[in-house]
Amino acid sequence: MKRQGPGMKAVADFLRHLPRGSRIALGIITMTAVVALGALPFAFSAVDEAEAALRRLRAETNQTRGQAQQAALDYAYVQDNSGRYKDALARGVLDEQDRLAARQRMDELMNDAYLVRMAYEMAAAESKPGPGGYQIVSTPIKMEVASMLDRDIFVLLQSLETAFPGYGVVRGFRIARQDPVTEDALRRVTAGEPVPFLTGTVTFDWRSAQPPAGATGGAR
Amino acid sequence: MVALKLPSLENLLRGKMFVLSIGDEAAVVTLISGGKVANAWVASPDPAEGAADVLDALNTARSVPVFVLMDAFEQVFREEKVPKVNFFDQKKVVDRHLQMTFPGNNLQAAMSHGADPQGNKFFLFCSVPPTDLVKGWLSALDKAKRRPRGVHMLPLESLDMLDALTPPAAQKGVRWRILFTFNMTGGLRQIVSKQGRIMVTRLTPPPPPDSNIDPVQIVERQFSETLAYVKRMGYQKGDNLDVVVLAEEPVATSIRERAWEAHSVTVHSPHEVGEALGLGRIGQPGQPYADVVHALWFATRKKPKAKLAWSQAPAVDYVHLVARGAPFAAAAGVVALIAQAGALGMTWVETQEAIERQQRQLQVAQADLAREQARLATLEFSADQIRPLIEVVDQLTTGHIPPVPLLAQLGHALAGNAVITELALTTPQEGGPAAGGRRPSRAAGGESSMVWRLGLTITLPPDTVDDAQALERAAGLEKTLGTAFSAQRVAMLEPPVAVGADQVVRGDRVLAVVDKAPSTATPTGPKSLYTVRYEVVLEGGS
Repeated sequence: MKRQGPGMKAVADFLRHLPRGSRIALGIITMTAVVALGALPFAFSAVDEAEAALRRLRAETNQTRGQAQQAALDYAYVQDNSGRYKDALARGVLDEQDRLAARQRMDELMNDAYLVRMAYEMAAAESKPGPGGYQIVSTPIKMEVASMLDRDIFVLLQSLETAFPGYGVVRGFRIARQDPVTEDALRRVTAGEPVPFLTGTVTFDWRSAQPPAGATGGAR
Repeated sequence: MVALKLPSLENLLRGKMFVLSIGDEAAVVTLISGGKVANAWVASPDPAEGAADVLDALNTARSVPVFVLMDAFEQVFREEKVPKVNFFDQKKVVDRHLQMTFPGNNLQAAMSHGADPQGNKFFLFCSVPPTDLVKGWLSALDKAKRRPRGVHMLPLESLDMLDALTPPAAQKGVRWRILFTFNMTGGLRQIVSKQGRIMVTRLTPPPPPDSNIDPVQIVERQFSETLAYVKRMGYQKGDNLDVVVLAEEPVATSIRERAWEAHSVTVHSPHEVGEALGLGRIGQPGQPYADVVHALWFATRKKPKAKLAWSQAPAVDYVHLVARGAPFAAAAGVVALIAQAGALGMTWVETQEAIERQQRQLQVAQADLAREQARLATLEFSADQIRPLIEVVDQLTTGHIPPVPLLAQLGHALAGNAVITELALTTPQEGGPAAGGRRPSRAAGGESSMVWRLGLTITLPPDTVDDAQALERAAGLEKTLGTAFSAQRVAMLEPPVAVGADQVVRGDRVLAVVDKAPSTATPTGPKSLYTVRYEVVLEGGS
């Protein structure tokens, strides 16, 4: 038979002195502690895992909802703007500003509008960063024009919007009537002499963009 | 006529209590009920022998509290002066002095004894050493779960009995009093007071049962010894000295007949002394001992004079502690475990339900996403593909004002009623000398918010005959322009005739030929055409 150590004997003596009810109570406390220490950690762990799974599900649901909303917004955006996108590409908004072609285009504009005179000054192009890594290129152009009819200058103003690859943005103009229409002036016109009854100035920007390196436009 | 004496309401309300008087000769249990002695038991002074009897007596009323009166040897009293300190430190200082006065672990207490004019306070320090007798009885009560409400010293608690039993002082001066009682617990108990303060207590064991010593002789001898003792403590001949003896006949008569070196000698029987004390008759007639008198006196006081406590905390009785606490701890542990398990179970079930709900919501969201992605797949471009360029285009066309629609709107408004001789469109982007022209004074205030400004110089039709008509037509044109450009601000900058308060008016008249009517033409002459200047301004936010 195994001998009890002094500690065990003291405990046994201690328990022997206790009333029976107290010993039963100590037994219940011991069982409670054993159950608590043995089972509660697993229970806490199970609850923690369930709550973690719920949190993950909530996060995933919110993310999926957000993606669905974004997809709906993207759909509406593309529908609203695909025409503008195509138009911009068709205008050659991403083409490089070719100054030689621009000079030729200026001559064409003068001829198309039947201008008596057209002088222009094309300043140096300015480039600045734009959205999405694009570079905004802007060339200020100042023109002095003279015509026989106001309609000719109006035709020029209308043509300027689409005259160059990209966008022509009119910043201002000034048209003034010059000499009165006299019989002498009419006679000179009849003789084929271009008489500048109207003079004016036009200021506008030739604007285009350069895509970021590696970017390409086009359809899906 | 017999006076009917009823116990006081205070005693009736006080209820029951056990007083356990402990001495070296016996232990006496007295049950007090309603200010009367209801019962009394005597047991052996040895706790090992007498505890069972005492506990039997106490168990006759399990809920009645127990008080202990110590009537054993080795009770020490000492008056000590404690320096004046503030109120909050008083108890700490007194406890320290008490511990210094009685080193070791004793039952002890301190009782205030007044103060001197300097503010120093006097305390009566009382102590009972931890003898086997004391420890044995208190331990037995503890084990039986009848821990006493208080442990008190019999001489100190019965001191006031002297005041009640002695006649008024015969003369002025210092007053000494001595009380003799025969107690079963200790023998002949003497309590000596001076000016109402306890000075000496003495205890003389009773003679052996088979001896023939006269109790009166014992009292006499002890009185002589006590007198000699108190003389050393300052008693002088001429001081008031009153002696009270509780003794039964025939001892009482013998004491009365003897000559005592005292101003008064009062003798009562223990049975009848209660009448003098206002407690009624006590116990059985003929009983010589005064233990129940002391017990009843103690039980009927408003509060004890001093409650003894161990100077050091007693060793923890773990068995007792565990025995008392284990059932509660077990109940609390089981309840806590069940509650915790229940709470965890509820949480787990609720979480599982929430997971199921969340999974259904996730399925709905995934279906929505799939539907939207399918719609996106039908498009020619993706949003990410076109968004940067659209933003670029927005920036490229910022500030662009299509001139042709503007001019068409202007032409429609004038409709051939006037001829535009000068037309200028200005935008904030233009700036510099190219903007040309004068800045309109009226637009100066809102220049910073201007989107575009259209300046017009208009020549009125040649059939405008006079200034009034010119002004009328100019106003009409301003109204027409205002209607056509209702979203913009239209203003006449310069009227056809200089009539404005801020304009210069010039005149040059020549006398006309008599037969010709006077001309009403303006200074510009009938051949000149009237010109008007307007501006149309689109302001930011309009």
